[in-house]
Amino acid sequence: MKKTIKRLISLVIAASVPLAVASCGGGGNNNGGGAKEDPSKLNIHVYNYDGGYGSDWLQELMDGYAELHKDTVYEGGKVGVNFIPSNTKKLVSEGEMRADKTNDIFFLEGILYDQYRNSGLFADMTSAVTSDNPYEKGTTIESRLTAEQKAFYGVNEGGETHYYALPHYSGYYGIIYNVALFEKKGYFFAKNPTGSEIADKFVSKSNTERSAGPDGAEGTFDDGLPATYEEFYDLCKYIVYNQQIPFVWTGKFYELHLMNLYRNLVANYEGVDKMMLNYTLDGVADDLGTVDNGGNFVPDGSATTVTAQNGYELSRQAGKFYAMEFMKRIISEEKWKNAEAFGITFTHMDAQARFLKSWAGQSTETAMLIDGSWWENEASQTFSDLEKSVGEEYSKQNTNYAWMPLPKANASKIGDDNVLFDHLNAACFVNAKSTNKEVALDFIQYANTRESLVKFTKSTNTVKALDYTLTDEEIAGLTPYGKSMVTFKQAENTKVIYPYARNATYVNSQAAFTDVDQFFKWTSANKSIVKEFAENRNSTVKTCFDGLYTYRKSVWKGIAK
Amino acid sequence: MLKKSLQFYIIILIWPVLQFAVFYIGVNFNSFLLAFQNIDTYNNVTTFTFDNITNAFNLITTDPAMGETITNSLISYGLSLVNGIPLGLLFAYYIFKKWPLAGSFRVILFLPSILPVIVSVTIYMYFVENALEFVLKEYFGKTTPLGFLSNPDTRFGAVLFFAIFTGFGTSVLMYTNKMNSIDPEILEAGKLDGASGFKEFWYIVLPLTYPTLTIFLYTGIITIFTSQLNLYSFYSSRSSIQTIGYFLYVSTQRAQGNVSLYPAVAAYGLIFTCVAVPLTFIVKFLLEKFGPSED
Amino acid sequence: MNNLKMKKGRSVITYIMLVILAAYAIALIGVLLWAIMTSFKSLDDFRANPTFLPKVFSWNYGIVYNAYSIQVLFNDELYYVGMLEMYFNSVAYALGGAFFQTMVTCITAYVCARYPFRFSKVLHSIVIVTMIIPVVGNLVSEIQVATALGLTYHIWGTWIMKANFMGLYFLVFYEFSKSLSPSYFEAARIDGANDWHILLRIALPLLRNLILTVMLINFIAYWNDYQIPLIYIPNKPTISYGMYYFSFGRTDNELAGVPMYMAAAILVVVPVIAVFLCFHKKLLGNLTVGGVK
Repeated sequence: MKKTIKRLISLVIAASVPLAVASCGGGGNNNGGGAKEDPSKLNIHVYNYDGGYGSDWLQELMDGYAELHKDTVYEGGKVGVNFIPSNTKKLVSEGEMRADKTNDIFFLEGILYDQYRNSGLFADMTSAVTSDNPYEKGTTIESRLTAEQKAFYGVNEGGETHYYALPHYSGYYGIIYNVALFEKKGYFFAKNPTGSEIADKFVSKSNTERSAGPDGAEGTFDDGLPATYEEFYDLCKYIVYNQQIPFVWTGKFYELHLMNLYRNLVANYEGVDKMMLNYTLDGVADDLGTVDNGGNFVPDGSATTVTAQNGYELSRQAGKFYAMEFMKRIISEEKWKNAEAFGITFTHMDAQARFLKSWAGQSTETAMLIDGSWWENEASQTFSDLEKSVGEEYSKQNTNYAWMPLPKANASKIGDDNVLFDHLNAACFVNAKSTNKEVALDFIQYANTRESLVKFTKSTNTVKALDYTLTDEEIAGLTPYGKSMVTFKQAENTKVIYPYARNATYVNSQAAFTDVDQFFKWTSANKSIVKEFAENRNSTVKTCFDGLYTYRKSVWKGIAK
Repeated sequence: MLKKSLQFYIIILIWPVLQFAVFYIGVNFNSFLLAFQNIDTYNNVTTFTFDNITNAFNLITTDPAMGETITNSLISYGLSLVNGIPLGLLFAYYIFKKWPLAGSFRVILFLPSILPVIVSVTIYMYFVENALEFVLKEYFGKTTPLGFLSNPDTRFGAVLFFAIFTGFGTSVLMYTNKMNSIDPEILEAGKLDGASGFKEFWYIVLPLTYPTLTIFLYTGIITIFTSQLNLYSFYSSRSSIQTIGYFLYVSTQRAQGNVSLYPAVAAYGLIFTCVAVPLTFIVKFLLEKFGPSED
Repeated sequence: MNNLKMKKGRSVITYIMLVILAAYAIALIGVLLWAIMTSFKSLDDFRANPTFLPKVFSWNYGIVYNAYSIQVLFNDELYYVGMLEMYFNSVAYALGGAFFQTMVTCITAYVCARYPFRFSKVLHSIVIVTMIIPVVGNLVSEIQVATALGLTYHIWGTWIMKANFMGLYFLVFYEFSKSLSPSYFEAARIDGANDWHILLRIALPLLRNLILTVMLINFIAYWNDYQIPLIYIPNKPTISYGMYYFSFGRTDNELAGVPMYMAAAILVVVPVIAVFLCFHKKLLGNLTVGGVK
């Protein structure tokens, strides 16, 4: 009897667990804020990849548009528009998109534009892009695109340019620093060093004038920041000397984060034109070279004309070598980063929390974070936790974090453009299967007015990949981090790279031009350059640099077929 | 009568024979062929070549990473022998003797086998990397920065520990059952001769369990080539430590859907099979020649 | 040794073993309890305090249950598979696979053992030979064959692929069937029972306990394996694959945290443990391997 009862109890527990839990949750997978179809209105489904940028900006746009059209009468006597968003962190594959008959509009990243377009997944949005925008008379969306973007998104069909998608948000990996900590501890380089000791190079109470920074000009936002890799190393040494930690990054995704930083260092070194050679495969590369046995970079005597036949030669770009040296250095110096820098359970969210909480005195103070430009929006929960548990001074608005321009490889590069590398391939487009294309396109026009773009920036403290400028007044409303990001992006010497091109090799083998294939694969094995540096103390920059070239050359035949 | 029995016999055996023909002979024959094929999906042409074998052989013999992979597989097998088997036998004996709490231990030892391994790995991983790490740092002055599963020096050990810790279930169950089948009279007779406790285990129970052990040993050889040590559950497809089984699975998974990549994987399989077969044979031979007999 | 002897033939070794086993049990249960405790923490709480009791109980299970789903694309249709359906897929995959494999092995072995045709010897030799000739790395080939036969994307397809008679358990069933007393069968024949009757009414009931145990062991192997279903039935995600996806595939901010992972793990595990605890006596039955040369 006892046994039977025991058994029955166990069974009941077993059966009830999933059910009990089910009754507590809301049900359904799409976090759409509970929006449902409304038969009296025109229903528009919107798919939004809400990674680092969240969905608040979209909600604002949808609310605004629905309000504007609440009395508009649509086909079938429907009045007003009802939006049903799907905000998820799932990217959509080509196959999944082909199967999607529900969503009218997509905001997504990781789009292989040509491939998807050839598969007929996109509705033609030319009219919305090139005609006068009804929500912003006198402008077109096309006028907000760079020449490069026009060439990429605008496809020539029978002499006419057709658009099938538009750029969405912009994202870059880099270094974020705690301005308040830098000021408190004097982590800015002094214009006039007082001696040769490490501390003498930095500002102090008696020596407050800051150096010119990586742009080489005084009186700009980057004054006092490290101008060269060497200065950056000095900064790290000085932070360690002050018994603090230079930076924190995620251990779980360290390959992704560090590889992106590496790739951005390359872009920053090469500049827009030479970096774009990696995609256009058309031009002259004048900074290729080899590494001698002493580990020094030896430039080729002459320039190389790059074509689709010898594209692999670009693996020998100088910027790749110097960026590798930088990565090797920061990875090898144990005291320069958090203990979990390679810990498999330490997520990007943990890294953000560590960074923010260290400033609230909850661990050793950490000066910098390696993350994407969207990090602040992603860390919202930690900001509000801190605000609640410690105090208001830890809110987004009251702290002072900023985007750091990347240092230059050497002194001769000081003053060169800052180059941002937008690797996200984020785009918005209308589903070819949509039955509400007209309204969907209209909404896209609404979403790309200057006013809407500014709203996006205000909501996320990041920027969209279109050409628009915020007024000083608008900038003033952003968080300190948002201000630094926008100021940096709008600076005259800041250029953005959108890594795509329109040549046969690129279009046919788009997958071979991803970052991993272009910049990080140095053997056929499953080990990126970054991982090699992290796990093998004896690894050298020469091995990886040579490997990058040899491997790319060995697979090039397949790419340029 | 006999005719009817024959009819029954044939009907019953149709399925097993058919299944064997397709999924053993067919699959392995095809695998053998694949190892020598060059499939060009672009032009849809298949040709025969010896390149796959040469390439695979070169990689296995020259790539240092591959050497490490093979060493890991051997260490993992060896450790399961020297650690898992004696402990497993002793645990089984403990349960067989019905010593204190034997019933509960039987259930507890079996418990990890019944939990989906990915779940146990997840729990173990976060426990080691977060809770254990915290306790060791906070109260025991651990100074190395990384957790045992992240630190390149310790992660292989930590993964092995997990495999052994959760791997007792089936073997303890089998050993215990085998011990239970020992004729009580033999044990009684042993007791009269003064064999009790550990002596009984050593002189009576162990020899009688030996046949079970033998089978485990020689059918276990293949695990050198197939065991993945749960690496996929720990590190997904980006593990820095590999075993042969993990390497083959990840290669297969990467090749899936792209037929032109199949031959390379099949070539690895063929080479490893060529090693596994004689090895199993030798171990079986040695065990039968030199082991104690049941009689 | 003798003076250390204690009651009922227990020795020092007994107690050393007791300590080892107790330590094992404590470690295992301790880690499980830690997981349960962690599943009730908020992420913020966990970061500050990964080992002690939660400061405030935080109900993560609702979120986890809803998020424990996988989007599947199959035949140009998109759909979500939730936790209950994954459980169902797991049970169908593991139970079906274990059932068919065990039954095919058992019946083939029984027939070979009891019917002295020459072919029986052939099958027996095949089993021995395939055990000594382990084939490695033939998965790609199996994928090709299975695809050609249209077995992929169906749970029953995996059953068919696994329903073979080879392996260790053939020998176990073979020995056991051989050792059955002929008197059962003779009596039945005299009563006019045909071969089918004998198989179903006499042999299988006699083999029942053995079948259950082998089935359990096979079941465990299938239950734990998410890598093979990942290849053959990606359209029918199993609960294990769900867990893999949950911990590696998702980066949602509110889900990326140890308490959430632990909640998911506990949710998956509790029904399994409950079922196991109530049937363990039956399941851990009598299976012996050995006496086979």
